[in-house]
This record gives sequence, C-alpha cells and structure tokens, in this order.
Amino acid sequence: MLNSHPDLTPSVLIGLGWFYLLVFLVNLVWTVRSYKLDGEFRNGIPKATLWATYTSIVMMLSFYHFTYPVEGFLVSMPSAFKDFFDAWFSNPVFYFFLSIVGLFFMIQAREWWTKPTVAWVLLNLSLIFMGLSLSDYDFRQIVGKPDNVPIVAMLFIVAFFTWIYFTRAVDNDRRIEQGRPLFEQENNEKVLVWPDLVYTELICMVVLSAVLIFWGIALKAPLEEPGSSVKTPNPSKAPWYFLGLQEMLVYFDPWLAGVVLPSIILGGLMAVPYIDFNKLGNGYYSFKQRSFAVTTYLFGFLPLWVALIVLGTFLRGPNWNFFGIYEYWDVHKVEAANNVNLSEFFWNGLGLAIPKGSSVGDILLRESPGILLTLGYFAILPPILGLTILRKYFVRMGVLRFLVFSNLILWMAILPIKMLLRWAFALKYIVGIPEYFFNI
Amino acid sequence: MPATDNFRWNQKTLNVVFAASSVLLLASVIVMMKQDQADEWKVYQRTNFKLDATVRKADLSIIESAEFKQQQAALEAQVEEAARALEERRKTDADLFAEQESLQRKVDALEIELKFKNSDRDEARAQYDLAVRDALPADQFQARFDAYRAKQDLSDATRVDLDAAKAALAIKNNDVKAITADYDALVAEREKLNFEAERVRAAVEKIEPSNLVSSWKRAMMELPVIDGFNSHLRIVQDWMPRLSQTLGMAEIARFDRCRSCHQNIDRTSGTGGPAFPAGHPTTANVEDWVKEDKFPQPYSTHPNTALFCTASSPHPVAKFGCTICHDGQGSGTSFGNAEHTPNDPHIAHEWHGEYGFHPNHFWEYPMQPSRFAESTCIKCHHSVTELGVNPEFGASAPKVFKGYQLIQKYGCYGCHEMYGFDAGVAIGPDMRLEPQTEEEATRIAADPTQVAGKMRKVGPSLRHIASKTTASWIEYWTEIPQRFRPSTKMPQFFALADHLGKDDAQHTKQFEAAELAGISAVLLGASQPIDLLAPKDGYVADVERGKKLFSERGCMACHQHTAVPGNTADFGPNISDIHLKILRNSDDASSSDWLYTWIREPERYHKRTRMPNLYLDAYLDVDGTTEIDPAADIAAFLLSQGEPGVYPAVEVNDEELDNLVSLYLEKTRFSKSAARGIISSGSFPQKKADVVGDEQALASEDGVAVADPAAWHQKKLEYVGRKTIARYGCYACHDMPGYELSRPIGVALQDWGRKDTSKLGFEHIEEFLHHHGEPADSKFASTTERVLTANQKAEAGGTEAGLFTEEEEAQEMSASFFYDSIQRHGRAGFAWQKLRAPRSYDYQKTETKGYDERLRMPKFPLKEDEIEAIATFVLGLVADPPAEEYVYTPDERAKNRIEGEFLLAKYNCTGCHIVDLPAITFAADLEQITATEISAADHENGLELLLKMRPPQQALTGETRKVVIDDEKKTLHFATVHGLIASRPDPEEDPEFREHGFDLWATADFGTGEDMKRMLPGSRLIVPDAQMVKYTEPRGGAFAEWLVENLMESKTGGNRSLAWQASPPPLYQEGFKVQTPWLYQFLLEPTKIRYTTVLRMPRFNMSVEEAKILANYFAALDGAPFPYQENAPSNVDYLATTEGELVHAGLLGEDGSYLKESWKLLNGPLCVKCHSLGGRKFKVSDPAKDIQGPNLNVVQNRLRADWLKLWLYKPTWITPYTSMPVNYPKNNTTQFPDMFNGDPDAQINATRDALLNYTRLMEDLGPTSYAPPTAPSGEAAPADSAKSDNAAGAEE
Repeated sequence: MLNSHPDLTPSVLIGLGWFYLLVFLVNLVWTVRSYKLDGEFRNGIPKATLWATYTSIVMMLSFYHFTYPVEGFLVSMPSAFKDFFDAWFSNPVFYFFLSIVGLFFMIQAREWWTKPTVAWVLLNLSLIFMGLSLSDYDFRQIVGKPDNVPIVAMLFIVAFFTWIYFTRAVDNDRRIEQGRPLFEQENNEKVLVWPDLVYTELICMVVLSAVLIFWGIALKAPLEEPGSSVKTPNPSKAPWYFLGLQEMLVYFDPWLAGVVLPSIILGGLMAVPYIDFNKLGNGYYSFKQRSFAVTTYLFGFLPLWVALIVLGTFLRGPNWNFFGIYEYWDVHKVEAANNVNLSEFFWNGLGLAIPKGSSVGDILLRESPGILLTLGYFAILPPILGLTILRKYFVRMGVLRFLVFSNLILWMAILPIKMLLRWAFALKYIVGIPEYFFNI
Repeated sequence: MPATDNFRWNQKTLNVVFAASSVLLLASVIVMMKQDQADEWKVYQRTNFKLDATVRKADLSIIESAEFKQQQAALEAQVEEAARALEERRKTDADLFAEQESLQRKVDALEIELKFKNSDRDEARAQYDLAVRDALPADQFQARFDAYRAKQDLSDATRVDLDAAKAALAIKNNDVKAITADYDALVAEREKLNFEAERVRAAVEKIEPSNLVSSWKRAMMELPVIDGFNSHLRIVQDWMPRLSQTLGMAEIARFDRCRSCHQNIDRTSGTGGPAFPAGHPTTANVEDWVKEDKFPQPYSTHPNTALFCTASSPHPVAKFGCTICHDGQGSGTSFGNAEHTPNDPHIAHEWHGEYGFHPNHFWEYPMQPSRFAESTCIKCHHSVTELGVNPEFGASAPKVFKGYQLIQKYGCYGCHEMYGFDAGVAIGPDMRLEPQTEEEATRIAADPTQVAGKMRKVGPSLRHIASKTTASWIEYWTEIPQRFRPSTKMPQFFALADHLGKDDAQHTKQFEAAELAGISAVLLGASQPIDLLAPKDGYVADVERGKKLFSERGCMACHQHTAVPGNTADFGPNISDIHLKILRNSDDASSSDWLYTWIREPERYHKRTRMPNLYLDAYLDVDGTTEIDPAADIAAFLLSQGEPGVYPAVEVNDEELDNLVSLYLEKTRFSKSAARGIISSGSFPQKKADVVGDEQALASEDGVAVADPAAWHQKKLEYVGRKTIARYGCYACHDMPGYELSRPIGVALQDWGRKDTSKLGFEHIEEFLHHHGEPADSKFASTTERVLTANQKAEAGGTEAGLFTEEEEAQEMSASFFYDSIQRHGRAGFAWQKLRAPRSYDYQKTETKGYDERLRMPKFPLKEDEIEAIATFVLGLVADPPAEEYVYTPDERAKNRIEGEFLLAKYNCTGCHIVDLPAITFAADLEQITATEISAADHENGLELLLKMRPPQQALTGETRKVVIDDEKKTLHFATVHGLIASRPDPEEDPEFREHGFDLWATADFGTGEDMKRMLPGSRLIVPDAQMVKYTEPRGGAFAEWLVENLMESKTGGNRSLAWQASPPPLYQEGFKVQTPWLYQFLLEPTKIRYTTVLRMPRFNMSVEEAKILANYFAALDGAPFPYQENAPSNVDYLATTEGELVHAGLLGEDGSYLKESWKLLNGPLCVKCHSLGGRKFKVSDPAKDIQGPNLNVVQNRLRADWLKLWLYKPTWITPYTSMPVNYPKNNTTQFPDMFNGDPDAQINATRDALLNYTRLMEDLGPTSYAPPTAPSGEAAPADSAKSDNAAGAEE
C-alpha cells in the first residue's frame, strides 16, 4: 500500500492479458492468411508455421497474465532495456536525429518495409514493445492518461497511412518502370454516390458515434484542477495538436514560434499548388516522380510536426525537462539551462566589450552580427541556392516563384538549424533585443 | 477501366453491416443510460425510500398497538350505533330535516342571485364612473346614475332576503345539530384518534403506493428521460450564493449536492436527537438497520443535530450547506467526485475496494478527513475559545481548541505570526505578540487600520538576567533545556544533529559550543542592572515556615515542587530545581536577593510577567512582636533544597570559533581573506558607530585593533552570540534588551492551511523516514517500518483481531495517515514531521548548504496527539473567511464570555478558583432520595428567590441500570447533580458501606410531576460507592481542592467547611453575586475581604481593558446585567414605598423612619458579633471559636441586592460550607420584638437595605447601638443545626 507506484498490479496483469489476447487473435488471422498465401520453405514446411509458433506463444503469454499472481511474475520490460532507453531518449538531440535518420531510412528502404510480412513484423514488434512497456508504472502513467490515449492511436494511424502511401507508391513506381498501367488505372475506383458512398458514410457515422459513446463511457473526461493565474500546472501543456508549436517555443520567442511560424506554415501550405511545377503524380501514388516534394513534405510533417508532438506529449515533463518514457516525472529534477546570445559570443570572442547603451544605435550595433546573419540568410542564400544546387528549380520556376519557394524552405530549415545551434553552442538568440521584445 | 453501373459493395452485405452498426449504436445508448441509472445517488435514494417506508411502517405498528386497535374498534362500533340512531331520528323528525333542506336550498339560490345582482350593479357603477371621466352631458349623466341606483336597490333587496333566509336556516340548523351532536362528536373523535396513523400511512402510501395506477406512475417516473421531469429521484441541491468558493481565479457560488446521497442528514427524532443514528449494522437489510437503530453512511443523520444541519441549530444545512465545514466538492454527485478523504490509509484501502476511491490532487479542497473535521471551524470562529468552552454546546471542537491552547502554551506565535486581520477585515484567529514597546503600542492604537496583538511572550524576561543566574547555567540550560527540567516547555535548539554524519556532527558540536558561549556572552553583556529588594537587615528566615507559606500562599496554584507534593499545576514551571540555578547572595549562600525580589514583587523584574504579586508583605506574628517576612521565608525554603548547581562552562574551540566568525563575515560582505585578516588582527575596518548590524560587536569605539586577546575573544563570542540569537529568534519568547523591535523569524501561518504544497521543502524526508525517524527506545528501526507494521495490523483486522488496543490503533493509524500524507507531499504530513523532528528535513542537505542556512526550528516536547491537535489548528488557518453574515460575531454577552475565557486561561484564574462545579453522576434509587425539607425557619420568599437564582435542573439522565439489592430487583436511575465533595469514602470501611458525601450547590429535581423530589442547594447527598457512576472534575480550582485537603489536616482538624473558608472560593454564580464595577476595581487592586483565608487574591499585571472584560465575564456568564447595576435599595422611591408598605402592614410606626430603624437593627447585637461594623471593630472573645467575617462597609459597593437578600435568608443555600448562620429564622419573632414588630422577613429586608445604604447612614446617623428589649434568643438558627457550632459567619 505504501508503494504507491507499483509496476505490476493485479488489474494491470488482467489488462495486459486482454491486450495479448487481442494480439493473439489478430495474429491468428494473419497465420491463416500466411498459410494460404506465403507458401512453404524449401523443406516443405509451410512458412505459416513460424507465425503459428509465435501466435501460440502470444496466447500462452495472455493466459500467463490472466492466471499468475503479481508476486514472482516474470514477464516485464527488462530494467536494463529501460535504463538504456531512458538514457538515450531523455535527450532531445538523439531523439531528433533519430527521427530524421528514421525518415531517410524509411524513404531509402521503402521497397523492403512495405512488404506485408515486414510491415506485420514491425507492427508486432511495436505491439510487443507496448505490452512490455505497459508493465512499467511510469510508462503507464504517461501513455494511459485519458487525453494521451488518442495520441498513441495517432502514432499507429500515421504509421498505417504512411505505409499505405509507400506501398502504393512503390507499386506504381514499379509499374511505371515496367511500363505497366498504374494501379489506379487498373483498379478503377470510381463508385456510385448511392449506395456505395452515401450508404457507407452513413454506416461510418453510426459506427463512429457508437465508438465515441463507448469511449466516453470507458475513459471519463480527464478534468484537471481549476485554472489559476497564480498557479499554473507543471508541466503546462498545450492541446496535443499544438505540442509541436509549443516545442518550438523552447527555441524561439513566442512571436516567432506562436505567430510567424504558424502563419508561414499555413501560408506555405496554401502556396504549394502555385509553386509546384511538377505535373507528374496527379491522381495516383508515386514516389520517384515526386521525390523532392514528398521528402520535403514528410520532413516537415514527420520529424518537425508529429515527432515533436510525440516529444511534447511523452517526453516533456515537469519544468519542461526531458524525461525518458520509463522515468518518474520528478519535479525536483533540475537541468542546467544557460544559454547565451550570439552577440555575447561575438563580442566576447573578439575580446571587446559588449555595447551597453540603450539607444537604438547601441542596440543595433550590439546585435549587428545577428542581424547581418539573419538578413544574409534570407536575402543572400536564395540567389546562391538558385545558382547552385537548386538551379534546376530556379530555371523552371522563375524568379518570383523561386524566391517564395526558397524562402519557405529556409523558414522550414530555421527550426532544425536553431535546434542544432542551441544544442551545439547553447545559443539563445541570434538577434536578441529584449528591449523591444524582438528576439530571433 | 470505365465506370460501371455495378455496385461497389454487395448490397446485402451492406444492409447487414448497417443493421449491425445500428444495433451497436443502440447498445451504446443503452449502456449509457444504464450507467446513468446506476449513478450512486440514485441507488442510495432508492434504498433510502425503502428505509423511509420501513421506518414509517415501524412507527405505524407502534401507533397501531393492540390497545389502539381495540380503542379503534370500540369507537367504530359507537359511530355505527350513533349513525343508526341518527337514521332513526331522521325518520321521526322528517319534517324538520325537510325544512332544513328547503331552507338551505333557498339560501343557496339567493346567494347566487345576489352575486348576479352585484355584478349588474358593478357594471352600472362603472358606467357612471365613465360618465364622470368623459364629462357626459347632464341628461346622460343623470340617466346613468339612475340606472346605477336601480341596480343597487335590487341588490340591496336581495341581500335583505338572503339575510332573512340565513337567519331562518340558522335556527333550523341548531335544531338539527342538537339531534346530530352525538354522531358528530363521535366522528370527530374517530378522526382525531386516527390522525397520526393516517398521516404516517399517507407517507408510506406515497413511497410504496398500494394502488396499481400510483405504483405504475411511480415506476414510470424512474425511467430514463422521464426521470428528468420532476421524478422522486432527483439531485438535492443547497445553493449558497453568499458562501462563495474560490476556484482557481473565480469566486463562485457554492452548490452542495451532498444531500442527494445523505438524505437523512438533518432528520431528528421526536426528542431532538438524530433520527437515524450512525452505526455499523450487522446486515445490509434496511429492516435490520431499523431494528438495531444503527444506520450506515450515507443514510445516517448528522451526529450532532443540536449544532448542525437542523433548522433550529446554529448551522442549518439550507443556509450553510456542507462543504463550508467539511470541504470537498459540493457539486460532485458520486463518492469520488465529492472528494471524500479517508481518515487513514487502511480506510483508503477499504474505500478503494468499495467505491473505487483514489485521491484526486486536482481538487483544491478535498474533504477533511475526520481527524481534521474541526479544522474548518476556525474559518468563522476566529476567537476559537467558544469552540472549547461553551455554556450552551459544551466543547464542540475540543481538538482544534486543544491545538489553540498548545500554541498559546508554547508561544508558536513568537516566531510564526498568525494575522487575524487583512486590511482591517477579520480573516481568522489573531495570534500575534502584543506590542513590545510603548511607542509601538501608541502607534498601533492611533492607526485605525491596525489591531494590536494580544499574546504575551511565553518565556521569562532576560533583561536583567545577570542578577538572576550564571553564564555556565545559561549555556547548560540553553543547550538542552529538558536535561535540567524535564517538564519545561522551552524547546531544544541545539544538539539536534542525530541525522548528520559523524564528522559533520562533531563539527556542528564545536560550532554549537561557540554559539552557546556567544549567547551567554550577549545576554550577560547586555543585561541591565536592577534594584533588588532584600529582607530587613538581620532577618532570620525560617525554612519550615517558608515551606508552609509556600504551600498556603498560592505558589502551588501555578507551580509544582517535589518538596510539597500532591498538586499537578503546570501553568508556571516546576521549580523543584530552582535552587540549582538561582544566583545567590555573595555574602550568604542561603539567601538570594533576586529570588526574594521575584517572589515579593515580580513586576520589578519583569513588567509584563504573568507571575502575580501575591502580597507577601511582612506582618507581625500572633504574638504581636515577631515580624515575619513570607517572601524571605519562601525564598529560604526554596534555596534550602540543595547546594547551587555547578555547570561546567562549554569549551570553545578557538579555531572553530574563528571559522564561525569567518563564515558570518563572509556572508556579510567580506572576502575570505579579508575575514581572516579581521580575525587574526583583531581589527574591524570600521568604527562601532559606523557599523550597522551584528558586526558592531566586533568593531571598537575608535576603530583601533583590539590588542588584548581575551577581549577580542570576548568580542568574537558576542558576535557569534548575536548572530545566533538573530538566527534562532530567541526574542520570540524572551524579552531581551536590544531586540525589542526585532521581527519574528518564522513563516507567517495565517494562511498555511492553503499553502501551496509545492512551496513546502520536503527535501529528503522520505529517505530519512525510511531509515530513521523513531526515537532510540522505539521498537521500530524507522518510521517506515512502524507504519508498515501498523498497516499490516489494520489490514489483518486491527482491534477486532486483538492486534491493537484502541488507543494504539488511534495512535498508529494516525502516524500512518501522516506518513502517507508525506508521501503525497501533503501539508498535514509536513507539519507532523516538522513538529516531531524539525531538523530532519535537513537530512543529507547539510552537506550542500552553509552552516547558517540550516533549518532553525527547535524541537518542542510534544506528544504525537498534541502534534495532531496543533496540525488541526494550523490546517484550519486558511485566511479565507466567508461572507460577513457567516462569520461568528458574538453578541455583547457572548463576546465578554469568550474574551473572559481567554483571560481566565491567560492569568490562570482557574488555578485557584472553581468556575464550573463538579458533576456527580450516580445510580439513584429514587425511593432512597429524600427531598429537601422546608423547615419552619425557612422563608417562602427566600425559597422563591433561590429558585429564581438557581432554577431546578432535572437530575435524571434517562439512563437506568438494573441491580439486585437485598435480593430485590431494582431499577436505578442515573442522575447527575452539581456540588462539592463533602466527604470521601473511608478505604478501611467494608466496600459495601463506603460512601461518598456531596454538598449540593445547584437545585436538582429528581423526576417530574407528582413524583418529583427536589433537593435544594446546601443539602447533603450520600452516595454509596457502588452506585457512583462518574465524577467529573470541576473546571479550575485544583489548587483550592488541594489546599482544602491540606488545611483539613494541618489547620481545621478535619473540618472541611472551615478549610474551604480558608481557601480560594469557587466562583459559582459570581455574576449574580458581585457588582461588576466593584469586581473591575478589585481585579486591578485586590483588597483584603476575608479574614478566614490563608492567602489573598493576588494582583496580576492586567490592563484596565482586561479587568473590564473579566468583570463583565462573570455577569455575562450568569445572564446578570452588566456593566452597570442598579442598587435599588438606595433609590428614594423604593425607600418611600417600602416605608409606606411597612406602615400599612403595621410593622412600622406612623412616625418611624425605615432607614433609621434598619440602621438600628443592623447595629444591633447580631451582626457585630462577627463583623466590624458602624465604627466598631470586631473583637475576638474566643480565638478558637470566633470567626471574623468581612467588613460590612464594602457590601454596599460589592454585592448585588437580590443575592444579598438570599444570603440573609439562608447562607447555606448559596455557599454550603459557610459559617454564616441564618440570623432571622422565620419562626423566631421574639429576637427583636420591637423591630418591625418582630417580623423576621421585614428584618431581613431592613438589614439588606441598611447594608446597601451603609455610607449614607454612617454619614447621616453615625455610629449607633441598639439593644433589644430581651436578649437574642440564640446565636444560631435552629434550622441550621449542622453549622451551629461554627458560631458566626465568615462568609458574608
């Protein structure tokens, strides 16, 4: 009773039992599918045997959870793994790099992981990971919070739709290579409004209503304490869909992270059709024909948006500190956070005194390195890019379109750039004029 | 591929899917409704209806007893009989009935007709009124008036007809009524008989309808959706718009829905107690609950219906709701959402199983666990006292009151201010120190927005300490006060380093030695000289006499001393050890001028001391030559207890002293090297006058280095001492020169009960408790182990399984609760551990902080239950008062009572005086109780006055006990009476013959009606030991009782009455007795009143304001008028009227003067026997027998008229132990036959009036003497035979 944070309790075991039972059931279906489609190994044993073995192990795992008491229970996430995971993942640098590496791996290895069996293995791995992790108290606290449940679901949904896209794209790319008709042409998807569309929509509506009602009954609305200006919650988090923006607040001033960047994201998304000159890939999935557009979009969406939401939800804890997913949210954890402005680097680096005056001239002088750098970034980089690596685009787009395009790209790039600078040099602001609330 | 007309999906499949999803949706809606119907409150309400019906049926079965049914049947038969008879008459007198019938019809018809005619008339009148408005031509105007007139005439004519018809009908009706009278009376009787039963039956019928339609309707009203339309299952809501609550940033009205589940919370039974007493019935069956008369939550009634919930209580639920007292979420309608809080982790565990309970830290005001239920009282009851002492409701919140008293005792407010006001608005109990200087007091008095504190510093003054004790004792004492005096309330500041590592502890010890030496250096250095008193030169003190005086003169009302054992007073310190510490005279080690001065005139040493001046002036011994100086004798007695104590001075390690000085200097503004430089050179870089702060101690006047190493050492010590005093805030409790304006060092506590828990420094307390936390002699290695054991025991059945005693369980589960609170970082747990081991929060924190940053709170000698009481109080300090009308604002009388109670405690009045009489509860054999006989000597008028002043109280409590006495079964009735012990059972006697004797002080009635037996005050009650049930100690007067027992042995030869006469009197009904202005004067400057006492009322250092409140207090308590009283007998009109009446009654001659006669009577040979009177001094004729009464010249200003009269009628009715006899017995008319014709009643009145006009008569008539024609018939009244041998009055 006194250990108010037990990793395993009878109700947790029962819950996990149901979870593994579900995993068992879906794998049972998969095994049947595998038996029908996957064929045999060279020695004549059906490939489905492996799945059958795995499925039965999961079934036994489920029964083990249902029947064994807490005392002496064996199956849980090894603490060595937890420590390893926390050590690496309670670090935003590693997390961010991993998300970018993951993105590029995903693109490079798309042919491999879109295979159904590979995807199914990956799904199973993630489910087993979830199941084992749920045996940890702190993980449960953060994942099981009623308002975090949809975010866990979102992870799987994003993965699923990304998988759909890549599967179709890989398929179509192969068709184009082989000169076969596109999937979309071959499988005409046009249907009748009635009954095919409207009827299914109606059914979806009914099912969705039922699901929402059941959800509402099972997970009660999570109310927190009444709002107070003198006592804010710790951590004080935005709604989940804004957690990416809130993460930007760590690196940027509110006016940039909260006003300018969101406006540019919206404006940029609206500008995409006018910038896009690539006529290919309309109405069908393809990666090869739109590799730049897709990569850029996925970079903006996955590491810079979804990953930041996940980070904000699961990894940011009290005092906005980083916490591993198996780590206790200790309000007493303190992280040193001393950041320095570029101007201080510059003047100190030159061995000169920082201009201290409060007149506009003094301030501009003090911040001149940052201001020049920023102006240079937005004014000089686009022409250089246009003449060098993006020459192809410059030629196709013309000056105006290219400038808009390159500026959007540069705006998107400032987030990772600022993150890198912060991590590498503890850089606070490139231009820091707190006198006028103007910090970049 | 082109688009086709084929369907994408198989229609049949789609239909099936659609059907399935619709069923799913339906299922979800059903589940939702089911959940809604399963709301806890609905379940409770359903059960409660069942319970209600059961109770009412039980009531019905009691009402409809066999006897009742018999009665009913008999009556029914009678009614039938009468009906038959009536039917007969109807036939025989058919004409009469027919006439009545037709008359009635006529009246009805005429009434209708009149109504029509009146309407026509009204219409015509309106037409006429319109004509006036529209100024119609004269002819139309006239026509309309005529029309009206005609209609009015018609109406009048009809009315005349109607009146005539009615009159005729009335006559017939009377005739008919005469015939039907019997029948009508019987029907009315039947209705009356059945009324109560019908009422109850109707109530049952409502809940459990017997007819199908009603029960169907009731079932329908419970269905989903329909139940939204005024169903009998509904949320019960109390709305308190003025009793707002703060949610985050918003002030919102309070909605309490608690009664949705707690439906019977305000239901009282016929006798006013709870209708559904709380309890744990053995089954879940409502019928059994009713049978056992025990009701589980939430069906039970509030346990204290006199105080709470009911409409007649001071806190009706409709006005106050529930959460203002209990906290919790009033709007919540489920167990969880209401934020119930378990009383300990074991209950939490049970609740978890039963209600799915889990703590919710998001709600800011979770319900108070029952252990803190009283906390919230002080939200509105800012003066707290009324919660502990209350004539109407008793101690309604004893725990929070205990916490309040403990805080007063230990003076927590010295460091932790508790403001009772915020910008002039009362926000809670005000506990602050009184202004420490004249200037401060004047400034606050002049500022209307400020209220001065009223608490006195709890420690003794250290202003002149050099004359009192030595440096080594100061150091020895300060280090561990309890080592010298185990009962001290001074907390321990030093040697609390148990939690530190060995090296650190050693280091700390060295630092503390320097600090202790520093403190004594500062105290003695700053000590101011004082003129001490000394006994007369050559006075030889007598130790034995000193001991006697010590015990008799009142010292023991506050102090204990092992040489005079037997009392338990702890208002002042236990001074058995005082000889060890007091500085003695250098020339004579058996005396101490300081002690002499302190005893004789305490305010000389400390102006604000609570030690009173006991008037220990020198006096002459009975032989008239030897002078006795009681203060000197007492001092000699105290010092004779042993040699002065020898205490080694603490050894100060020079290096560590330097380290400490360096540490403080570095904290000020010096670098390490500069600090070291100052220390090694002995030179502070500034002149003393230029330095601000404690560094003054290091600086020299001229800025030159201190050359003498000893002097520099002393300076360093003083510096460290000053730093230490500032750090520990010694001045919070002690008056110290130079620290008059220093501010308290602790956290202010006025809103601590709402302090944000994230601001509490829990540090490593969990780790500490995991490994330590229990005293060395505990059987547990750590608090964690202790709590785990307690929880396991509770889990395994607790007291029921015999694993705990009840006391143990309360204590251990309390620890478990607080431990759990610490785990959750709660305030309660923080406070608990802070008081248990204040420095434990420094566990493994000292390594990373400076020595001077360590925690400073000292350890108080508190027990765990005391800590809980203090926590209850402090958690109630929320500085969140409700709207003004909810804050308890006492009326003038209550205000004086409350403030007076505070002063009773402040000056320990209750040390000497009984203020509430003891209560004796015994099992009375009503046959054995004898009513007090009214003798021939007693005056009826006196009795009437007595019953007015001491109205009879019902002694029987209603409880009974069945016993067998002498083989006879008897029922004994428990009775409670008030009075003093008159005799104690003799332990050598056979147990069955042991008896207690009590003298009644209050009038007690045993029973009611004809069987009532009344015992008057002054009668003796003998209770066999076996029948004693309970003796409740009096409030106050422990010293008086002790002294009485003592004097009985040493002085009065076992006579208890005489011993009481020599001791501090009980202040029972003092308000009826004395005049308030006199009492006010007396409190400020007590004069000697009684000659029988061995001690005098001392003089306290009381302000005039306080004296006023205390004087008012007694009158307020008894409901007597205050602050002024009319002295009626000095009124000219009264005197004239009385004179006239006496003349008329033939008791006074036509030309006699009432006052003159009265004065003569007073100066007659009766009163002067015992009292000094009219210029004649009391003369002792037989020192062994004669008792001198108080001087009568003070009576006029001192006593109230009614009381005095009753006193003259019969003194023992007021004070059973008095020696004053009945001087004018009713049956003795021959005593002064020439005075008022010998009428004793008139003589009493005359004596009273003479006394109350004393000054005037002395002025006008002067000393007078009077001798009756025959000698007075006897010294004492025959009616007062029990007291006759005491000859004369001592009590006035």
